[in-house]
Amino acid sequence: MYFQTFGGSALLHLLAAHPKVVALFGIAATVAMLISPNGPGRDIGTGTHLARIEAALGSQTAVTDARQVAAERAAAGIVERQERGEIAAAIAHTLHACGAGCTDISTARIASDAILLRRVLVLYELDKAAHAPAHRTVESAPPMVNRSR
Amino acid sequence: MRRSIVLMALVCGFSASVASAQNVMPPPAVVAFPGSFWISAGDAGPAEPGNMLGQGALEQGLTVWQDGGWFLIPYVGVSMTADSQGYDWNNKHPTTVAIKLQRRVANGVIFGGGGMMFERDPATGRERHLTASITYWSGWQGRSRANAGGLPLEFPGSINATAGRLTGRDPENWMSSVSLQQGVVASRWRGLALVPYGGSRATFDTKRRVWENRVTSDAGVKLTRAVTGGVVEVGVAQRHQYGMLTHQSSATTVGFINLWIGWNPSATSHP
Repeated sequence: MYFQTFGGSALLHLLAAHPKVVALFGIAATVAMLISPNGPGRDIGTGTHLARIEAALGSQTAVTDARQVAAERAAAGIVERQERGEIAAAIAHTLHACGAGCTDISTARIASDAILLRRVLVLYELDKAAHAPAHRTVESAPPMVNRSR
Repeated sequence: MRRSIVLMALVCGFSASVASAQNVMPPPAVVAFPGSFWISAGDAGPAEPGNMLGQGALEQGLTVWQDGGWFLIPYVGVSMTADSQGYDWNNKHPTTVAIKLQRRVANGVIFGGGGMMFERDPATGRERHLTASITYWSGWQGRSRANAGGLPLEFPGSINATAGRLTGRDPENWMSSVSLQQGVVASRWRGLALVPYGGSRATFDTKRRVWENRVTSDAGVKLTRAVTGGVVEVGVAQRHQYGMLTHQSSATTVGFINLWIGWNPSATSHP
């Protein structure tokens, strides 16, 4: 019997590539959807599964688009403030929500990679939005123009 | 609307986290097809000097029930073993049709099950045998405290314990093995990791076969690389083997290459 080593930043990148799903369900629930018998989010087919979920969002697109825009704006604000404690706490929250599948990448490594940091901060904000009362996230989002599908 | 129904089904069981999804609808079924393929090739070790051994296995299952981290999976497995010196016990291709109950646990998995194994027993000529086993596997990257800041080094490792009726060539024999491997990532370059490691594997059985009661220990170095859906590793090691019944020791240098690929495509049935 020979298994892969589970976990990895691959899962983190997979989440970052599908922000609409995270915007709707949050990080933990999205990861839970990706659990296969052998692990969370590393098997062939996992990305396709996530893309299929994202494609099926349908009527929820307006909500996820609004949350994504708000999350990107909030993440940019965190980066601009450059408060080390705030950034570290946001990364820690994101990794914690991701769970066992994200234990092989450290806070320091994410903080040192500008692109990955921005993605993780967006995930952090999306996770917050997914768990916040709906009216609060909608209020914080900019007006949506030509975004209906 | 139809797509929304499919979506809600996909997240059945996660309702606490999806309160903001607003609508609760009847769940259609999600059917997953977990499978894996692995190959392992290298020197057989000091018990068979100069013998090259190759093994491969393909398993395809169907998740018929899932509840959180629990999975019930009927599956078919085929495997193949061959060696360069043509020993009978190293040249076989058993097929297994079985069912297993699998539980995802932190950084690992535990599963048990049983079924039928199709492999000729040279002693009796029988081709079909009942098989049953239980396995625990856990792997770690050694950065489990990454959320709290992490360590500067990575310590990947794994533990594996298996017990059961595992071969049709000795179908009444209950065999067990426990293995532990621990490494340290010495360097990383473009997705490759150089990992010096140490490992040990103990096997024993109820029939007291000389070849099944051994402790095999490796000290070596390997290159590992994550690939889509799995991992590949190539390495060399100094292998030491101790026979627990014969009280004899031997050692040799071995090379190896291992590949593991897993998949879990899924399909949703619309209500």
